[in-house]
Amino acid sequence: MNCTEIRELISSYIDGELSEEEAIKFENHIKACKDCYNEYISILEVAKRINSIEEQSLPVDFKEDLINKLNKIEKEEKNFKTIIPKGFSNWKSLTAIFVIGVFLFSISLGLFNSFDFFLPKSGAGMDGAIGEKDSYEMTQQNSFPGASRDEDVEREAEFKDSSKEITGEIEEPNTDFSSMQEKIIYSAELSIQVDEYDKTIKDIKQYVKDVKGFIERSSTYTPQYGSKVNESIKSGQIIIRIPSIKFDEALDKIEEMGKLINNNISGDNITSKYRDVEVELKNLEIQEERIQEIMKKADQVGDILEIERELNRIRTEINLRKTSLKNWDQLVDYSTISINIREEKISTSSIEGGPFKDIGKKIQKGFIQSINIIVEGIAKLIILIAKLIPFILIITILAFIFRKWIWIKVKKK
Amino acid sequence: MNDLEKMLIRRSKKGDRDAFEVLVLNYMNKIYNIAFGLVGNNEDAKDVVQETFIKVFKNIHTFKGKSQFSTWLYRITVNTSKDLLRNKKYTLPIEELYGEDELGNGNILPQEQIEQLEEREAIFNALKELKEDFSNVIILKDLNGFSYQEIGEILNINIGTVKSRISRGRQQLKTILQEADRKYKQ
Repeated sequence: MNCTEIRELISSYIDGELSEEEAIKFENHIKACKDCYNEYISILEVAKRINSIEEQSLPVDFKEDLINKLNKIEKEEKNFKTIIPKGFSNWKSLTAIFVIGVFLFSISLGLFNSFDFFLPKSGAGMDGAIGEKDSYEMTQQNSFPGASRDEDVEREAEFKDSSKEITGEIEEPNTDFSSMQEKIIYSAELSIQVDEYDKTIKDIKQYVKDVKGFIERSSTYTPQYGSKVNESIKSGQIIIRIPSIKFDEALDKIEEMGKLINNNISGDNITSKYRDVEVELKNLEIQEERIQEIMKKADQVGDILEIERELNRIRTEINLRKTSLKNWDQLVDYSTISINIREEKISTSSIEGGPFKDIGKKIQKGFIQSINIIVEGIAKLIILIAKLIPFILIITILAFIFRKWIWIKVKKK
Repeated sequence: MNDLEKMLIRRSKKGDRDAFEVLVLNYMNKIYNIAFGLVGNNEDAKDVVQETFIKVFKNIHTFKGKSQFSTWLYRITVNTSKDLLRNKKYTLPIEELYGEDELGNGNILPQEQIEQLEEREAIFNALKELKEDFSNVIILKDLNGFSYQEIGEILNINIGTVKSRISRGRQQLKTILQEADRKYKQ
C-alpha cells in the first residue's frame, strides 16, 4: 500500500472499522513512514477533540412539554378522524356509500311518487316505536354503511375503543404547582454573651417548645481552669430548628437574651433545584402510570417480566426523588439557628455581699476603734502634760521674776 | 431490539399512547444530542426533537421492523434537522452556541467550564465550514458515537461512502481547526 491509500484508512483505523488484516498493514506502514504517522496523530487529535465535547442534557421540563404537545396533536387527529370516519379512507366503503346514496336517492324518488307510503312510516318512528337507542345505532351504522360494514364492524369497535382511551388521556397532565412559592432555606448563626448561661439555655429551650420547633443539638463546656469555681466561664452551642415563619421573631428573641457578638443570616434559594426534581418526579410518575397501564394489557410472561423490571427501576428513581424533596421540605419549613453562647462575669458585680452586709459588726468595730482613738488621745495628752511640767515650772518662775521686776520699775516712777 | 421494545412498538401501532411514550421517551436525550450536533444550538435542537416525535407518532404504523427502531428514529431526526437547516437558511451567530441557560443568566462560570464552552464553539464553527455530507457523518461518529454501519443505516448510504466521507471530512476538519488555532494564537 502506498501513502495515499494509507491516509484514506486513517479514520477507519481510529474508529476500529478496519479488518484485522488491514489494521496490521496500516500499523506496519505508519511505523515505517513518519509523514503518515504524523498525519495519523493529527487526525486522531481532531477525533479526540470532537469526542471530548460533553453530551448535552435536555431541560427537565422538556419531557412534559413534549407530552403536552403530543396530546394536542392527538386531539387534532382525533377531531379530524371524527369528521371523516376511518372507513372513509377505504375505497371499498367509498363505493359502498356511493351505492347506498344512489339507492336512497332512487327510493326517495319512489317515495315522492307514492306520498302515502312516506307519511305513516316516518310518523311511526316519531311516535316512539323506535327508541332513542335504536335511532342512535342507526346513525352510527350510517357512517359505516353498506357492503363494507361487516368488515368495518371490527375496525369500528377498535376505533371506538382507542378513541375512548385517547379521550381518557387528553386531560392535561395535572400540573400541581400549588407549592409554587419560593423555596428558601433560612439559617442563621448567632454568638451572644450572657450573664447566666444556664438561664439562657433554659429560656431558649422554653421558646423552642412554645413555637413548636425542636432542638437539633446542644453542647455545653465548663472550663476546669480558673482559681475559683465562681469565676469559671461556661460556654456552649445549641442548634435549634424552628418553623420558618417564626424565623425573624426567634432571631430578635435570642438577640435580646444577651449581648450580640456577631450574627450571620443566610437564605439559600433552592426553588429551581426543587422545581427540577419535582418535574422529574412528575414525569417518572407519569411513566410509572403508563407502564402500569401496559402491564394490565400484557399477556406474555416475557413481556410481564420486562415490564416489571422497568417498573422497579422507575420506582427506585421515584423514591430517591421523593426523599430528597422531603428533606428539602423539612429544611425549608424549619429554619436552622445555631447559637453560640458565652457566659461573661462582669467584674464590678463581684463585690462581696454589698455594702450593708455585717453592718452591726462594722458599727461595733468602728465604735471600738473610735473609743480607742479617744482613750489613746487622752493618754497621750496626760503624758504630754507630764512631759511639760518641768518647762511649766521654769516658765512660771521666770514669769514671776519678770512680773516682780516690772512692778519695781513702775514703783520707781 | 429487545422484547420490551417490540411489544411497545406493537402496542404503539395500535394507538396505545402509554406504550408510545415509554417507547420514545427513552431515546429523547440521544435524539436531542444528535440534533444538537447537526443544528448547533439548544433552541433548534429542541424543535427538532419535538418535530421528530410528532413525525414518529404520526407515522409509527409505517415502521416495518426491517431496521432497528432506534435507527429509524435517528434517521427521522437527521432528516428533520436537515429540513430545519434548509428552511432557516441557517447562519449562526457565535453567541447562540452557548444557549441562554449557560450565558444568559449572568452566572460567572468556572474557568474549566469556560474552556469547555470555547472548545465546543471552536469545533462547531469548524464543523459548519464543512459540507453537510461530511459534517453529518462526523457528528454521528465522533459526537454521538455511532458505528459506520449504524451511520450508513441512519443516513441511508452505504458503508463505503461513510468510510470515505469520514476520512475526507476529518482531513478537512484538521486543516480548518489548525487554521483557527493559528488565528486564535495571533
